[in-house]
Amino acid sequence: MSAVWDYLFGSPAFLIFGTYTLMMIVGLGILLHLQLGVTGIGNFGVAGFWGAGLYAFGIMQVTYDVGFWLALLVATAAGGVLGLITGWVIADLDDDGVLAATLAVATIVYLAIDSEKDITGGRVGLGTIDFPFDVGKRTDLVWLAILFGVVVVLLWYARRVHRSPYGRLLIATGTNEPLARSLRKPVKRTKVGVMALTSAGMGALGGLYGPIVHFLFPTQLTVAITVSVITALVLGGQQRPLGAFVGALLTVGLFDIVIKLYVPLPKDLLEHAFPVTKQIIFGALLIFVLLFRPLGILGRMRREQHVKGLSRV
Amino acid sequence: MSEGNGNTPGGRATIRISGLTKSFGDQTVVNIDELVLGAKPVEGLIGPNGAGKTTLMRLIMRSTKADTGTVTLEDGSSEVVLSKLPPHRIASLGVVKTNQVTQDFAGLTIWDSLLLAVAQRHDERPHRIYRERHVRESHGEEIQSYLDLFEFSEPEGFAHSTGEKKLLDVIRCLLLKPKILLLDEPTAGLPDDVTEQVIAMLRTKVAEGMSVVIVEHDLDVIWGFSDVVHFMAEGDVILEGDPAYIRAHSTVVEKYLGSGHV
Repeated sequence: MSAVWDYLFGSPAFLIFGTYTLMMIVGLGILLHLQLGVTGIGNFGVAGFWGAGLYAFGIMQVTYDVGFWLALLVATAAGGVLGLITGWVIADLDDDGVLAATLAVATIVYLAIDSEKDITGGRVGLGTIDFPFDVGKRTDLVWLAILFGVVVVLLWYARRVHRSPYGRLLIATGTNEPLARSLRKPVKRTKVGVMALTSAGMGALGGLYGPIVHFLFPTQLTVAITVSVITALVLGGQQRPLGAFVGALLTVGLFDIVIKLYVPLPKDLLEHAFPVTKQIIFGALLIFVLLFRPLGILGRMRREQHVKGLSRV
Repeated sequence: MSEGNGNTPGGRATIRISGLTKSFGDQTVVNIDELVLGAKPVEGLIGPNGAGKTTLMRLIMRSTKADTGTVTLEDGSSEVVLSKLPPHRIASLGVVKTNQVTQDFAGLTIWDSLLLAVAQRHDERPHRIYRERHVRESHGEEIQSYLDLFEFSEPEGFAHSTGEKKLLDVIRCLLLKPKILLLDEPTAGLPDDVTEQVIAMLRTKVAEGMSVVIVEHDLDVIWGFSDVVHFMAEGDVILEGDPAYIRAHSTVVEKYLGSGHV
């Protein structure tokens, strides 16, 4: 029994870090679900909104020495304001334009953080960021529980949105903008609003990631984060709130937890070839799913079930 | 331009069009100096293909932007220049249009689509995630009354046929309680009996005060439903009058109906 325990939990730090990553991808995936799967906004700059929050949090904590809650508020606001501006810019663009513009936003965030060394520390890094509390050896576990709670709240919100008039407005906006406009719906405002709201959530998740990594580097904001989130969501099912969860389990869960911790790969392979191979597999998986099952494992929204269940709302 | 029984001012909201032009490349599609729509309860808009009927409706709703000119909603003592407003604001003011080409929301069921139409802006805020019951309770009966009028193959599911989507388009618009409803070929693709049902439903709404401007290629609908008919050709309204007058007019016969139609 203890051998099994040691096998499963012999490297708790790695296991916890892998689970942090899993939770982060699920959280970001749920927010991307509201953007892409519900409202039809193809955000290819998730890393930028998340990174804006991460660095806003870090700068507040390290440079200005402000408390956790204020730093988290600033992180949320940073993501939200960036989402607001981006939403306003992309509201009238077509799908290709939205992808290009959001990728550009993430690139700008990355380059700004990389080049503004006086503020961000550049490639030297920014730290140290600590947990806002200390309960001894279990601190990281408590933080993981908090992160889990945040993800559960996000999932609950996304599911409620599907059952609300707001969700219906988002779906209408995502599927037929001119028709939605003709029904009095302020399409542009709706798109800007959902971008601001969900990007604020991404910023907040960025802030919550700060204490996990302790030191911030621009390399944490590469497109790899975006690819991981998109792959998880598309694989699981972009139109379903649980899609990101299912997809993240099968991608990040498999690679960053199961293979990394429990498959005896040579250390050199694990450190150098594995991260690159993982991204290649994610990219190939994304193409495969889009070609052969574009709505992912969970498939399309079940709106007719919602209508039948309206009396239970 | 105007002959026969033109518009007469009444208590209804009207749309005044002044100096409205629209060109695509070298081709002028709409070129209207002055036109008032909606003064009579039901106004037909007819003309040959390419006359500019659908484009005129799109210009009123600003789903297509005009090159020049203004469109004004006159309602009692108030005047609002529609040609400065975004499309959703125009719909909010009570000017609503159905679509010539069948339109639907791919992800929404029939009920969803109708609840979307009736939901108010304050119901659709991101934090009002428990508002569904309120919207359903406030408007469910009204929606059901429309659904009872027509036979949908799967009322709780999605609209499947073009006919169902056409009906849905009209019902969505009626749920907005428009002052002026612009109908662009509302009965195209519908069986005769359903067409009659739609016209009967529209008559009820007209009796309650709604004005209708209808573009329709089924001329029996135009002659039987309209109080006044506008005849468009080459982007302009060149004749106005009651249906009998327009039907018999030599210009209409020559340019549109053909001699055997009278």
